[in-house]
Amino acid sequence: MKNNKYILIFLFIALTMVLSSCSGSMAASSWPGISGNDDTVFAAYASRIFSLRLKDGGLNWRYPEKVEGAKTFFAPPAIMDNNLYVGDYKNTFYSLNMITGAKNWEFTGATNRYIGGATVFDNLILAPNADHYLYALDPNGNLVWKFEARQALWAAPLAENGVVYLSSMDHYLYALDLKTGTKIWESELGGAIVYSPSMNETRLFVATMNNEVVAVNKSDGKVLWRNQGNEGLWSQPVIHDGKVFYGDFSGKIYAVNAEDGSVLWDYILGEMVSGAPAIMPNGVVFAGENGKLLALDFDGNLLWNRVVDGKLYTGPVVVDGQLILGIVQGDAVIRAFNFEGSETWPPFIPAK
Amino acid sequence: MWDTLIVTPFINVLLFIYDIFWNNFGIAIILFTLLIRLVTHPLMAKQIKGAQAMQEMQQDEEWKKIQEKYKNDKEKLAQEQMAYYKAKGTSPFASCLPTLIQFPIIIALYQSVIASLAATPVEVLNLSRRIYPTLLDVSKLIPLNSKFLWMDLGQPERLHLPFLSFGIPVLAIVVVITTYIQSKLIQPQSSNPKDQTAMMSNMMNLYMPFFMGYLALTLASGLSLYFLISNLAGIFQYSLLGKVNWRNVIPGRKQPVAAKALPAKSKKK
Repeated sequence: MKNNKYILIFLFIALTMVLSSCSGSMAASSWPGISGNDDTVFAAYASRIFSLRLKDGGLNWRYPEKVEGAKTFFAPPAIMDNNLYVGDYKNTFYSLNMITGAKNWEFTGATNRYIGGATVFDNLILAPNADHYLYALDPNGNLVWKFEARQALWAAPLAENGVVYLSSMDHYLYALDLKTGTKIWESELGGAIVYSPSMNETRLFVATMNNEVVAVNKSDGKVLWRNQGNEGLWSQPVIHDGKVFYGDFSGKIYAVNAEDGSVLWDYILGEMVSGAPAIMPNGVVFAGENGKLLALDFDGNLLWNRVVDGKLYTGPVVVDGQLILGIVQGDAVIRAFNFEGSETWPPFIPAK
Repeated sequence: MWDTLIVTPFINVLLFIYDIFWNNFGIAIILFTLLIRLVTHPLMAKQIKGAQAMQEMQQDEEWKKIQEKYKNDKEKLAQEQMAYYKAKGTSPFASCLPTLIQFPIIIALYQSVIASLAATPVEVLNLSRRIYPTLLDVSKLIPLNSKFLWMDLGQPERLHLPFLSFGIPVLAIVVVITTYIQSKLIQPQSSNPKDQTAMMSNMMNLYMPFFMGYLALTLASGLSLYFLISNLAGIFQYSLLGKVNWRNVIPGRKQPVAAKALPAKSKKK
């Protein structure tokens, strides 16, 4: 009977391992969400938010200090005044004191994950949630309005001149009134939109899962041009000085004319190009899924390249003259580079 | 290899069903689970038949005599055992082999449901790469509609009623009940109350429903739905094969006295 007990325990452990290993771990479900200001980098990754010194990568604080169950953070924290605004994967949105990491308040009105980062504009916090709603909160955490899309919202909205531009997994791009959340226009683009749009004075640029980069008129949502690719896109197009930069699943980087979408030049990175490229004063930096970091000047000439250990599902984020890179499944979670491609401080590895 | 040859085709079949049945992921999970159960039914029938033959062998007077005769000669006993199998037209592999074949299929079914419930960016990226473009259109398919009845299949399930301040985990409760009923229904009546196999089986019957209930409570409700349909399909399959033992679940129905009177050594080799 004693042996049977051991067999039983073994069977349970084996079954648990099989079932849990199949269900996928939270840590691999997204990538570090990064933001920052002139002296601090904020990174949301797995069970915590980290505040790091920009000059040397040292830890200021982490929230929560003690890991709280299955609570996880991947959305880039938004910054307003001395506060951070960030949501977690357990349906809660937080305001934290930027200096100390202490919690100011939390908003529990959503029913799904906060995957995309919040945007702050005109004293309003715009928090997209996978429950299909964009929540607009005041600085005290009170709900001002909410807007319902047809599907999950995974990307931070953009706001400008009283208008919010919102991309959604439901294939639509929306323009909303900032004060009321009323829809101004919507545009069906033919595929799910994972990342935020980029914009210039008159246009919005988005990549869809229909393998297209689309330019949309900001005033009425009309499609101005579409660039259909043969490969998938897991990339956010970025506009700079009349050129739109993006990459595709095959590892090809494109610079296209913002006016008509015509290709100006292309470059082979060699692995899936992820997320938004970062704009430096002298060029653009692209991230490849398998850890490649590639800097090109605005005419497509190579400046430098680096390889980091791990997966890159998003491009580097420029924080006060440094490129901050969020890494998944690597030996570090955060690495920092200057615009010449040299690492500026030791890789950040969160303590358990 | 496992992914490419087994899980990815499963995912594509599941999503194909989703695509043709009104883009309803709940219906897709139900139909896909039933389809896999249907395909593996002959294996299950073979396994049950083999297990029954093994059970009958333990009760067979002829076999008991052989065991007694050669109890001190292991080699000869093994030879006689093989001859016995041949004469009866059975084999110990008749029950093991179908189980071994079914097990990876069930794991692949489970993994394909998990992968298709993609609710986070990396999961969706991985899913989009596994879809066969010749069979399915990623742009139309993603995002999957994960709403089914009152549930979001990508989230743990709770039924919120207006007069209650908390959600009721309906699926988890139903999974516990159906797991318990299934395990009791298919448990063979033991001829001996001290039979260790039966005692172990009883322990499993007690713990397993709670274990499955815990998984149903904490994991995405799409998986709970899969557990539930699997249990119901299992009960139906066993009853189709005439192997359901209703005495085990109906309160007050005792096992026949004659069955209890069999000697304990009948289980020992």
